[in-house]
Amino acid sequence: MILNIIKRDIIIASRSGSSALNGLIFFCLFIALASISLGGTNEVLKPLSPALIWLAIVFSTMLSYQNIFQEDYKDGNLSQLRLGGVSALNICIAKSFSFSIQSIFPLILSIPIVAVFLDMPLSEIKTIIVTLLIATPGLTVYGVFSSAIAAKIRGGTFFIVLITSPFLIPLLIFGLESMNSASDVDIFNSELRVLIGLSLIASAIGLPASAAALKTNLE
Amino acid sequence: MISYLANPSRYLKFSKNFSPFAGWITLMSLLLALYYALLKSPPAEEHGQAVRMMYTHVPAAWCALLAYTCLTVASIFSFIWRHPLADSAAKSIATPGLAFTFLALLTGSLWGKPAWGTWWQWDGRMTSVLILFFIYIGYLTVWSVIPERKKAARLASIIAMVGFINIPIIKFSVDWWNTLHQPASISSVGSPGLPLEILTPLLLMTLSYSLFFMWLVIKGIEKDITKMNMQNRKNKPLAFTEVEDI
Repeated sequence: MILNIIKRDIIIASRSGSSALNGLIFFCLFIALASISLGGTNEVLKPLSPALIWLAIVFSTMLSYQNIFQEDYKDGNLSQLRLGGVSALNICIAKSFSFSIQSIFPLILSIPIVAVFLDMPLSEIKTIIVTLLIATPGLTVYGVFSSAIAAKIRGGTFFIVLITSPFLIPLLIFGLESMNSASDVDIFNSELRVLIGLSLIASAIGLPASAAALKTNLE
Repeated sequence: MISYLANPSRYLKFSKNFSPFAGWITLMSLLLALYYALLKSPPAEEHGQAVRMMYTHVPAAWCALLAYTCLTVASIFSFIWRHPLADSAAKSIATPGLAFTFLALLTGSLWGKPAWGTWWQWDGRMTSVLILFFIYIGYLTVWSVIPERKKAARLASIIAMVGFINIPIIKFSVDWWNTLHQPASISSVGSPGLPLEILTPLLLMTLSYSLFFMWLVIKGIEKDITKMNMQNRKNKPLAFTEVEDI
């Protein structure tokens, strides 16, 4: 059932097209605007580029959290799934997978292209992709959680940003810290291990919590 | 005791008798603590007169954490047993909690200027208290955004429980990241911590802050129950008529 929901979500996203690309366009625009406003010289941008990419990814995922549950809640698909005997936890797990495939992986795949514009060295590109892949469960699960809470609220994007930002700040801090202390020899430094821990805690606590929130909203 | 009070009308009766008493105790202990803090205690060796900032800063931070812990306990009660009184308790704990967190940030910033020469620094403890501040705001937003009371209570309690991950991080942030903020002064019994003449006003201030917090919560629950009763009365029709079948 989980696989079916994921397949369905991806088919819907690939047919509608534009909404799946919104996050990617926002990501590129954010990087472009930030580089222009910082003066555009390589000396200024080079030390800031990991932080810029992390910020752009966090913001663009935050803006797409709203879509995780709202459409399906509005047209009754979620209630139908619940009536069909799918547990709320399974819905949340499926939605987490489909969200990370639709909205986060395209961003991570586009990093090598963006990195060329920011003149990042290859080792840095490698570490930023590793840290982002590790942070993906955290980024996803908190999004599913906030979206499950805000499923009923119309225009809840600001509300979602307000709820998720306290939870995303630790991910942002440790992601960037592990970037700073990463070297070519040892990529698994202690900050990266904390990041892994944060992602695991997020999945362990966030998924049951979002299932409970979803159940409350569907009551 | 708790099961006796877990009934709105019994709670109201109890609160009517107990809250003035709690209020006067709070006032007395606050006056005593202020006398010790402002007049009796000597200036500290390192900080000079600015040490008196500590008597407002440390208790506020303590109360911010205490409030969040109480909020989590109330949320667990409200989530598992769906008791309306637990919802009122959680709601009226969160507002003073937000105020205490703001006070801790404000006094910390005012104390930071003479002690460290900066208003703000992004170190572990300050950042995590700021995160706590945002969690309180998010929690209270849920209450204001969702109109149905029961649903709002349930969703808010879920947020409060998830946000509890942050509390151990704040408590131990100073030990984990050895940065600007000094470690806890009152750590364990017997360790060479603060001298007695500074410790006494600090503990008295903490006690009176906690009492003040308790008084605010008791009054807040009372207000919330009264408001609910008013609404229930308003929703009832003023008169009934029965139509007979002919």
